[in-house]
Amino acid sequence: MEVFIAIMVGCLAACGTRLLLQRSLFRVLIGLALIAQAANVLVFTAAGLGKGDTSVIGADAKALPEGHPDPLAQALVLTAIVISFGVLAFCLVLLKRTHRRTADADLDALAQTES
Amino acid sequence: MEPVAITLPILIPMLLSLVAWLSRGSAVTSRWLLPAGMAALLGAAVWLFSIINAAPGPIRVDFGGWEKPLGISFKVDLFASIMVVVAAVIGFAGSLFAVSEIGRIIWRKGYGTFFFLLLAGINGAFLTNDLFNLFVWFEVMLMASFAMLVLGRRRFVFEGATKYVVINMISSFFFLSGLGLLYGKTGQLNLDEIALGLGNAGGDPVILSTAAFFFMAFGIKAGVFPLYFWLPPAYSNTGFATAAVFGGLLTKVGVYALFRVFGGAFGFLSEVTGPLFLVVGALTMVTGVLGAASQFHTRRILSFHIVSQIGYIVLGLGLFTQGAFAAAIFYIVHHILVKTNLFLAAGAIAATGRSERLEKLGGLLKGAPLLSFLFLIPALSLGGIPPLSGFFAKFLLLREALREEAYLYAAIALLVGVVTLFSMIKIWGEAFWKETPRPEGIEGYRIMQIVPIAMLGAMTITIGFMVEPLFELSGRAADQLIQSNPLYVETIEE
Amino acid sequence: METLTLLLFALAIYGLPGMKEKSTSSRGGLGATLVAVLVGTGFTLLTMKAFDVQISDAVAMELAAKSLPEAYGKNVVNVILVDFRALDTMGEITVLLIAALGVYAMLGGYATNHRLTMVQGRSPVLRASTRYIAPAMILFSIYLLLRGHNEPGGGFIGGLVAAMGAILVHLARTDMPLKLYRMTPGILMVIGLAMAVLSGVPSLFQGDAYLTSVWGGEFSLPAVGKIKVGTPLFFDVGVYLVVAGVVLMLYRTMEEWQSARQDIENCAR
Repeated sequence: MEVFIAIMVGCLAACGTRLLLQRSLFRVLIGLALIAQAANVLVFTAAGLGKGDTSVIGADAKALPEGHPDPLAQALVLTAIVISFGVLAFCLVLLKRTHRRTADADLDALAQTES
Repeated sequence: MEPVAITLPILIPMLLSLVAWLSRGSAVTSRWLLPAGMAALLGAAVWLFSIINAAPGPIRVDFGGWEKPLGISFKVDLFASIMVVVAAVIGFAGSLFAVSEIGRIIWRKGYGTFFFLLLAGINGAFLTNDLFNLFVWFEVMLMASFAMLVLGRRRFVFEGATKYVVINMISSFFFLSGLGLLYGKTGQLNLDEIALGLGNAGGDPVILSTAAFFFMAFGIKAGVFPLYFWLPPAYSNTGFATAAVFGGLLTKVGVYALFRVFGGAFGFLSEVTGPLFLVVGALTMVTGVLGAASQFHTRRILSFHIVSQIGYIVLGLGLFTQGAFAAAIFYIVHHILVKTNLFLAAGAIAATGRSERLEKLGGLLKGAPLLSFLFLIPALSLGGIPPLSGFFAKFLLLREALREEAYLYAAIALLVGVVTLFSMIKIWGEAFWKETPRPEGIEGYRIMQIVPIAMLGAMTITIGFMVEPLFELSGRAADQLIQSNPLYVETIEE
Repeated sequence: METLTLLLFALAIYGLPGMKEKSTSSRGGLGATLVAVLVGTGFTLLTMKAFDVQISDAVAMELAAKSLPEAYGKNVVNVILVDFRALDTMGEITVLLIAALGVYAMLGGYATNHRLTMVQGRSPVLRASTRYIAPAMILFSIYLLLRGHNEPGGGFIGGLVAAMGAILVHLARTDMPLKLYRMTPGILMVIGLAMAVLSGVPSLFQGDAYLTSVWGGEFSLPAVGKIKVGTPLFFDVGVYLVVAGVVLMLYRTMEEWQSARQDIENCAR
């Protein structure tokens, strides 16, 4: 399980990086989404995967059962996911606007506007 | 009263941003709410500073009443409260300029709302002592700056903004990854607890890569070598008030985070990070100043100088002594005021010649003597001419470098200072001294644009006359910064 | 959440019909792949390494232990979000709000054409069923919100469900007043954030830290069970409103901008 998730984080990061290194802005954006996911999974796994599946205290219980997953990490990842969703939604629209302006969603076209 | 004082720098801009959104349709309220709110924020910041200054040490507030390390804590020390005051000053100056600069349509789109939320994010980042909370405030700040960048309808706004957005998302990725690893390692998010948990875990590869991630994350935001390339296009294609606030504050939030993390919890790595920051600082200075020398566009020149000045501050972090930290804190304050002022002056200059290209400007010395005088103050200060603030900032830093026998870096810093002066003289010669190339002569600027420039200029001069008490203050701030990590107090005093 | 991201991407890809995709394999392709593989390997190793580390999850354990007796909630994650670390959540919904307002500003507000009144081309079954499904979704979202402190649910997911209900109404093109529809998202967001921010203020008057919970009485609702009234509940309602408003505003601006552009293109032809 651990190895599987570690490889998954690696794959997400690798695919994200590969896409980031392209010049098509749309691919860059997907790359950003992927590396954001990689970071989220990393936070989640670095805190340790518990055996249990929930962070809700049972009806009669007073506390979580032993070996429950880290609820703090879950909360952090939830927050991080929502934030990256907001930023990505913004970026997507920004990309559309850039695309409309330069009529070419390509970083090379942007490079020419440098000077 | 302390919980109130510590909360207000966030509460005021958060609530006013909502008022600003609701009143954005009204021409008068939408404009004047911003400087009025910033004045209130400044008042709150000064109040907070006076409390912290009178207190024997940092004051902690545990939000939600959950004792550290359970909840989120703000630990406000002198460094943090000084930064909050400076941020409010810059917000006030920038908003005054914005009142006359920004057009009706952009106010209607919510410029005031984003401006307030930007300040809320910046203040949160300065005050918090919780790593994940810092991440959240960074995102608030970034998102607000994204929105402010794209509000303008200038030709290249979207292009500059796209690069800025992409690079900052990569920075967030590094931050979050490093944070996750650190949380996995220590189980803590509070910076003090992390410092204790890390102890002296020197060679651990996870810790080293975490440090590298944080360097990337904050380095991108601070604009250090080689991560600064996004900065000039983003800052030179937006409105002047926006560029002034960004140029003054945003990179410094990154620098502040570098100090907090590498001067605090990761202080035990100073034998590795110290020399690294020295090299990075020197390269940042040199590349920034060379970049500026090759530009003939006022704001591009100024943007590259942000980079080179960041180099000085990072040099202070690299020296890693109490004196160097004190000099760096002094430098940060000086630099924020001067840089914002220069950007605002560039805005007034551009208004007179309808251009930012030096070859199209000219004749300002005759046509606008007051502006010429007010431009000289921050320009000479940036170049390090006594008795202005920049001279003392550079002097203190150089003295510390010599004391630490970092002669090479002292020489580089001196040389870069000379080139910076040359750069300012270039703007002076082209925009002020030379006759205007425009056949119709120069145009006027609005008096409202001069007010914040004069205000910041007066502060620059005041700093020059109050070096003693201010340096004593930054010395105490540096003490508190160093003591934030109890584990290496001894190592640093050796 | 993933569905939402997908929906947004779908809307955006739809708008990039003639995008030129240049072949990138010719230049720097191999080097980029190499860098990517290196980064991927590095992250895999780091994650593996992170597993080896003995975690001291003292903070998380203590939060879990205090959740019920001191914060009166059984859903530990939700309690962390609205009480222990409410300040993070406040920042999070602020980011969402800025994103929505930024998108709104970038696309020039809502489009001006009133295509909502056009009904043709929509399945009558969808329209008829929406009349019942949408209110049910709103009700369900409130149920999720209220029980969130003790069971799976909470303001965030509730807000999402509510927004989905409203989007469904729009998709089905039922005759909902256009003006109300345009006003709502912005108002929802502002009220929501104001509620969340202000819910922390009462404790300041008591001399406590910001966002310290102030608890009142308890009441019980059918189907939901006992609910303890306190500032965290107000905070969660704020989150609910902001999320619903943000999703609606994002959807509305993008959808209307898209259809406005299509109209322009159609006219050009």
